[in-house]
Amino acid sequence: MVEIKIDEELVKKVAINARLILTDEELKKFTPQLAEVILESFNKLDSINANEEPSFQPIEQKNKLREDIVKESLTQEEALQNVKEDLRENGYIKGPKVM
Amino acid sequence: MSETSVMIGLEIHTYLDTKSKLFCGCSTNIINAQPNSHCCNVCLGHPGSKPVLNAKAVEHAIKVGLALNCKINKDFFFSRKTYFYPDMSANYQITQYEVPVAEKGFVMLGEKKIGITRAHLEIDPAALVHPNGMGTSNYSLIDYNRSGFPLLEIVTDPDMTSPSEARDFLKNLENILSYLQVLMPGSVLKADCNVSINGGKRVEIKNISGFAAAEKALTYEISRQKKEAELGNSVEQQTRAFNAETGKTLPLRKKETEEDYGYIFDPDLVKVSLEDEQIEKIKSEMPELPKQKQQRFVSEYGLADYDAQVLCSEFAIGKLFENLMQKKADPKLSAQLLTRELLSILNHDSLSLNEVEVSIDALFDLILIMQEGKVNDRNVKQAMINYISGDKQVPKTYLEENDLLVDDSIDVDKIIIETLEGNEEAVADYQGGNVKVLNFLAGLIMRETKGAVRIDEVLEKLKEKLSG
Amino acid sequence: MVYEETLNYFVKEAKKDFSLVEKNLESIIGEVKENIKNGLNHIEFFDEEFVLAQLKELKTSEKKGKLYGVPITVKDTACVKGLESKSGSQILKGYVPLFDATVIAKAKEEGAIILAKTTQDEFGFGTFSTNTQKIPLNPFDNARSCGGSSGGCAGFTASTKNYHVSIGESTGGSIAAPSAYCGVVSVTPTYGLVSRNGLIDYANSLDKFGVLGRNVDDAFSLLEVIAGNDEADSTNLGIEYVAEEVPLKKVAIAKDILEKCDEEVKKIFLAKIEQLKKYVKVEEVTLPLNLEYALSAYYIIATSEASTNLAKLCGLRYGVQGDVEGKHFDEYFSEIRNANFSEEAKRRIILGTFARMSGYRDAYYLKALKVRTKLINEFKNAFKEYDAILFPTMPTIAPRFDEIKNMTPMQNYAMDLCTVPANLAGFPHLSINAGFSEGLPVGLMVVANHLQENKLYSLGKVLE
Repeated sequence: MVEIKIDEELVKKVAINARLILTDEELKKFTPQLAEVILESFNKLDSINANEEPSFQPIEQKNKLREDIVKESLTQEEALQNVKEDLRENGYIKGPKVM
Repeated sequence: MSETSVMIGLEIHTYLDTKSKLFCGCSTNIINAQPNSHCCNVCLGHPGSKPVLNAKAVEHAIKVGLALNCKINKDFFFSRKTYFYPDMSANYQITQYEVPVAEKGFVMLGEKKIGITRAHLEIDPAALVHPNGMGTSNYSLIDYNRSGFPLLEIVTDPDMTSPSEARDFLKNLENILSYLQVLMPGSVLKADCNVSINGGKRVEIKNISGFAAAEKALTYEISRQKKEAELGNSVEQQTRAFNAETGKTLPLRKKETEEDYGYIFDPDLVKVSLEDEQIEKIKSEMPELPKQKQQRFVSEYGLADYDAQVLCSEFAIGKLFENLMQKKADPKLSAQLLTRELLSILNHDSLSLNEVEVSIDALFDLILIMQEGKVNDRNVKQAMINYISGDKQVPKTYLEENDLLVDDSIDVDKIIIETLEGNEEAVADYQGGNVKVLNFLAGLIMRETKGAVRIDEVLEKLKEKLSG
Repeated sequence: MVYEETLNYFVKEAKKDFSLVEKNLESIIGEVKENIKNGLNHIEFFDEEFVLAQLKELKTSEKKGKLYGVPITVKDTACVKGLESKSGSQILKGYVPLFDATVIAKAKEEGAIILAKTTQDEFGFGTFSTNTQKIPLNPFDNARSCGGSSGGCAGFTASTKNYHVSIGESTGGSIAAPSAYCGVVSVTPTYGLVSRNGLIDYANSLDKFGVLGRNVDDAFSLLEVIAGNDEADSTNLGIEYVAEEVPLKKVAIAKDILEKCDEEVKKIFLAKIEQLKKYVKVEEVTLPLNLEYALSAYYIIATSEASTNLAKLCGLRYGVQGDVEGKHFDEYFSEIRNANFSEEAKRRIILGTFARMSGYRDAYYLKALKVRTKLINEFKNAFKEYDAILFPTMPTIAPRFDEIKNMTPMQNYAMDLCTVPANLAGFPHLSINAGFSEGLPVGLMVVANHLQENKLYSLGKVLE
């Protein structure tokens, strides 16, 4: 049995991992909702034994590989087409800083 | 003061030699390319795009696994390692978590076994440029040309116990990989070095380029950790970077608050399932590895163990030797020329063989002259220095034009008599029991004739005359 | 143009007389505009020029394909080159794909005209198409839901009087559910039969493109076109599909799933089954493990995969983008994601991130994958004896919007109890109208074994 407490602290921690900073309101609202799903639905799996092999897709497949052949890339213009004008600089895409 | 026990483990990233990226058909030939000109929907992380695995990369990975004495997993899978960073086109990296392509191998370093934990395939992120430098930049610039490049990560067990051992391991590994011809030309081995002392916390030094830097970084880090211990501080588990200019390591981020990567099996990809025949075929097509080549040089060409080892320690040198053998050059003289002359010049000038132009024919002609006994060692050395670092003139021509070949028309006996007559004191010295005089007199003769007489002949005849 | 015959008939005639194509298209464009004007909200994005350009091209085209001149609505989940494709989300606003999804390319190759993108729950997160800015209204009762997440597809398919078919997408039942609530035919194919290239991911091991139409033949005609081999999708089965009738021996009603449905729904379902008994033996079967565990396993796997798929949506390269200067990336990413994901998207991301986090991963994510195998086997066991398994598509008729507002997320998810089992296992399933209750359609679901679409076709023809 997975002993687990779904509280605001846990929800907050998980949210940050996913780059979601929840407001206090959201945290208050979501926590009981998520707790219900996890404790009532997810935890159901505790009551079933499953020693089967995991199914990563419903139908097992293997060996989908391609030859090492070069295909035409997008042009720089095409690659930047969906980038906002002011986030393009000399062919680069402008992004936030890392330090 | 007790000995410090050191544990070093390495995570090495190598670029595989494929024409297209690991999961899409974009070209890997990005040198001098405009930013974001070698991308597609897949490596840009455009919603709706799907990855497809490159068969050549898998082949290369299996080769490396076999060369590192690993177990090749007949079924292996890809995983998503999810974390957020501006250089990640999907904010997850396609890598291998649970079941990599190869694991549990080893590399011999002399008599010592260095364990290889695993070797696995993964994609490279994009390149980040920081205008005005990383520390002060207000934003970053992203170039996705490199996004999706095929990486093979090789992880060692923490079996190394000194920075020099780590360096030797990296050199050895690089040599094996160049024999396999699986590395992207022009790429550099990068390593994350993990080090702890006296069973303490592990510090990771990230992204070090080349084995010399790795040794420096580890040396600094070990002494830093020792100092901390001496001051009574415990070493924190952390991630650091190495500054090649200052030779110091600096903290990057605490390893405790590491991202939870939340690995899942990548549901866009299916398993690779290998047949025994496939692995056997790759095994049989593998090129000779350094150790095997070394043994063959000894048995086939009668070389000394040491010379064979030196010739095999760098793929390019070994190849040079084999090219000479194809022309039926004398093995021992060829080995001598390459190990004692060529390599020592390269080491002295801190050059690698790739950086100089060496013609097989030029070397072959020189070796012929040596074989015919028509040149002295000292002049060989001089000709080679000129060939590699000087005027670059072909040795044979250099020797001929500078009168450095042995001249058979010279009357050796006459010169010897003249020399002995002109150095009575030395003669008396020798007869008094000082045998070193022999070399002194021979040296005089060699200098005077500019090496145009054979040194063995001179020594022999001097000895004769002095005794007689 | 009033829809009287099948698509195949229309195509045949259209190849002889192009004016039929023009008339049909003109009429349906009118309906699209009305739909937008009247706030029925089935249409997410419509660009008349884009449509007319295709008409022009078709007129002079040599290609006389299987879908010649047929207008197709497409769920916003599918990438259409040159058309904004957001999968119903806010964060992908402005994303204009540089490529057509393979299903779109295939449809165009056969002469189809891409008419419009339809409304849906954001990324497919929902059973009622209410997690979105534009909520599609049920044509039978505008105060009720169309179902979801392919609500717009079903709503428009039910409303239109013209020749038309729709490409929808299903992860946990998003084609079957709305088709049941709107009284139209739908086919959700075997996982991997239809390429996912160009499908904006919800959960990669569960997503499938499928079809909605006014009748069985129309739906399967479209399926024939969009199914087939695609090298660009590593999970594609590489198999072509041709619809043909096959002999049937025995089918079974999933008794325990039926029990979970409303009385009215049960009644109508069973009445329709009577029709079937003339043609094929009808017995009963139970799927206890699926009933008990399918929803849990599904939501764990789906949210785990979704949370990684949605990680790439962070304000870079496409979609909503902000001001990057002076901001650390954690700050920038969080800002964009907080402001542009709906509540439901945030909840599912958190659930999925949790289920695969270290410490929880074994008990949830990995366990769910193993349970999935078990559940697939339970079905397969039943398929050894039966050609197909039948039960109502949804446990209720389409709920009212005020009812939906009061549901907790858990109550929402529980409504998927009929559709999830087949979707989790990747089995092909048909949903067809069984009758009406309180004036709203009741759907009947037929599930067949992997790659047994023709059993669905044959049963569909009988039930129609």
